[in-house]
Amino acid sequence: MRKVMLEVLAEDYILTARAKGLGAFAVLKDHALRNASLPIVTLVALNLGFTVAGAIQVETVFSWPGLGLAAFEAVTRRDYPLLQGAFLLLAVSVVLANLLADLVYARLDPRLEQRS
Amino acid sequence: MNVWVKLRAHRLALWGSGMLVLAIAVAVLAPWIAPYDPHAPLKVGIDDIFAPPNALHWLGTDDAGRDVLSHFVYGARVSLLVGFFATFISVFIGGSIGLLAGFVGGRTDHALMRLADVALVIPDLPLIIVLVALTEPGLINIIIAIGIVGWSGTARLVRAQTLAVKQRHFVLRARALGAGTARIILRHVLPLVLPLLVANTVLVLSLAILNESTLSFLGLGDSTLISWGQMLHFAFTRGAMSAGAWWALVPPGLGIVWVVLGCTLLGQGLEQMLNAGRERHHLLKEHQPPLRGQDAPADLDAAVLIVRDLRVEYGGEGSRAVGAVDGVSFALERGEILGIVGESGCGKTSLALGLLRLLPPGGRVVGGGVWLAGRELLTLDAAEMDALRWKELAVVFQGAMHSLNPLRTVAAQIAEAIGRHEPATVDIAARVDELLVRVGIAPERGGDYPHQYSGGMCQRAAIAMALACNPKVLVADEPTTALDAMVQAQILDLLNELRRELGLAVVLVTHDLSAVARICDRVLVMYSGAVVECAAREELFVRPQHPYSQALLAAHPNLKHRRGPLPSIPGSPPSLQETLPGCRFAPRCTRAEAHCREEVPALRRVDVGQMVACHLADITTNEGV
Repeated sequence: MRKVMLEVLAEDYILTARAKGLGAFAVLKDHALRNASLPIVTLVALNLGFTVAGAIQVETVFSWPGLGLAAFEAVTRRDYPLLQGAFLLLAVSVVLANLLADLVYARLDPRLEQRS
Repeated sequence: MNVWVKLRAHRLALWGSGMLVLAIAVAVLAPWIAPYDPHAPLKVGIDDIFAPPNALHWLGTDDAGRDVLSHFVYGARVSLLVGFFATFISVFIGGSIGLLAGFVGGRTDHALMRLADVALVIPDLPLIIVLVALTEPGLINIIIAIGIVGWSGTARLVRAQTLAVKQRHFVLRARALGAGTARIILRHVLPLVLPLLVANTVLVLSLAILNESTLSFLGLGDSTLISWGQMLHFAFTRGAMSAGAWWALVPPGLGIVWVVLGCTLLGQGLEQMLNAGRERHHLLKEHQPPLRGQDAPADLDAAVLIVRDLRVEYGGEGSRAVGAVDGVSFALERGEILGIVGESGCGKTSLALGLLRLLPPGGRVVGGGVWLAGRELLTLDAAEMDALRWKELAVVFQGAMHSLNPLRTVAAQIAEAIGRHEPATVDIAARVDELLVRVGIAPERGGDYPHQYSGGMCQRAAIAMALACNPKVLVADEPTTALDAMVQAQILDLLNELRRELGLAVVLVTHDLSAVARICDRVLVMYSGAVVECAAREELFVRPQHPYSQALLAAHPNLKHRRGPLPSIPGSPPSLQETLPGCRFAPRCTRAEAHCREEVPALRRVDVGQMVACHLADITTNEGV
């Protein structure tokens, strides 16, 4: 986020906004935040998949009966059908998250609406 | 060594590498550091199980009475070993794929990158778990499993860099010379990709170590080996928590944190080193030392904008300050268009941004004065300047396409300026429509986004935005660059029209002499930060006095000399860092005399409306072009 923000703030239109006499906060709110949030949306979707991976650890540590623990036990017990099921669910959720990210992206960036 | 000097300048990288070196040292020297051999058979009494830290066992013992410190030290070996080898595999795969995709391009690139996309969305850990679980859990298998996931990030990075490098001239030249693909990749592309790859490798290393720890922790590691993850696994599964034996848990945990933190710091530090200069942007506070108020010039009432002896510098604090604008003065009357011309790097833009007080970070006005309608601008504080800029003194930036925010409608961006500076009673929507019509854009296009506009329309929109608050002076920084000739003419005519109808005074910064000829009343010729000639347009085009102006005009295509190559000025402007004792143009001047190299020529009046900074000005009259 920091890196993206730095990149956006170095853009010419930020200088324009600044020259217009807008305060630092207004520039951030109206010009920088939305532009910087674009790559973040993609990242959030990608990270969702990694959250599931995190669930495996957390559920194992605390013995919470969740998808993560189920998948982990399936691995240790060689329970392939259960493993397949867990991964199918994981795959579907990652794909859905990415689809959602693309939709949000189109809402945020008018440049993408035109192409169809 | 150069790398060492750089490393010292970057605290983050220094700390990170220090932490990593310490961890590696512990791992390498394990047999000498560890007080006990962890593989030796044990004679354990009941007291040795989960014994708290004591004189014999500095970090206590674990569930089997083994010394935690020795395990910790040996654990560093396995954790780092797995980390390094897995990283090597992943970076090797990622690097090769990236290089190949970037260099070959076409279908190969397409196929490889789709593969990388797929790999990117697959979470590492579940995949590694499955890979390890389905094979024999041995050290090699774990290394391979961790290594073959997580290459996609590296591949993307290397591909992007390769694509950029591939287009560089020396690579194209090597290609033209008939160098083979392998040779070009190894000799020309790889060296430029490598720094980026190194920074990336450190981050991959931290991920690999984390993955190994997680894997071992989950009990999927090789149980005959001691690693930090393995120690955590045993501690958790064999009741260290319930026995309150924190000493069995904390050291391996801290070890992992230590190495991962070291990697992250080093990686970030390296990245900062590579992208030096990325850390500055337009919201940083104006770094403007307060200037003493100057006596108001005598002709204060006659001109709307007076700039006197303005000096702009860059750098300083550590590096030597470099003067970009060296004592420039001019006055601008109502409805006048003043052209500022010169080669790239002569200080035109710095002058324009300096008088607007919008210099990029590192730049500052170090002397002189700017008066706008009788008010001294350089002594105002930042808030006063913000209130005044755009209301009285507006600007059209270089590259209109980039100076409009792509995510907001044009109308909204114009309205913003009005809302900021005009009283709330103003009907903003009506004013926006009026402005759009004024610059020749249909009002209904106001709701469009900048990407739906052509380059010329963007420029018009930028001008409309500049006019939003009826400024007295407009600074236009190369408003016609990157536009085609027809559109350039339209934009210039628009400026001319605005000047006539609104009495707008314009400072036109340009390197285009046709633009000057078309609309400017007076011209300021700049060379290496200083004004070399200031003349009315007719004077300059008919009787240029300074050899630089003459050379500039001679390099401009005209109808008289249609044949033969255009003359150009040999050499390039002096670096701003070097100080020349005499005239800065002397080294490139065809008429320079000994005198020119010794004394700086002052700007002096040679005719009613013409000032020249050249020792030879009188002699050269009516010569040349």
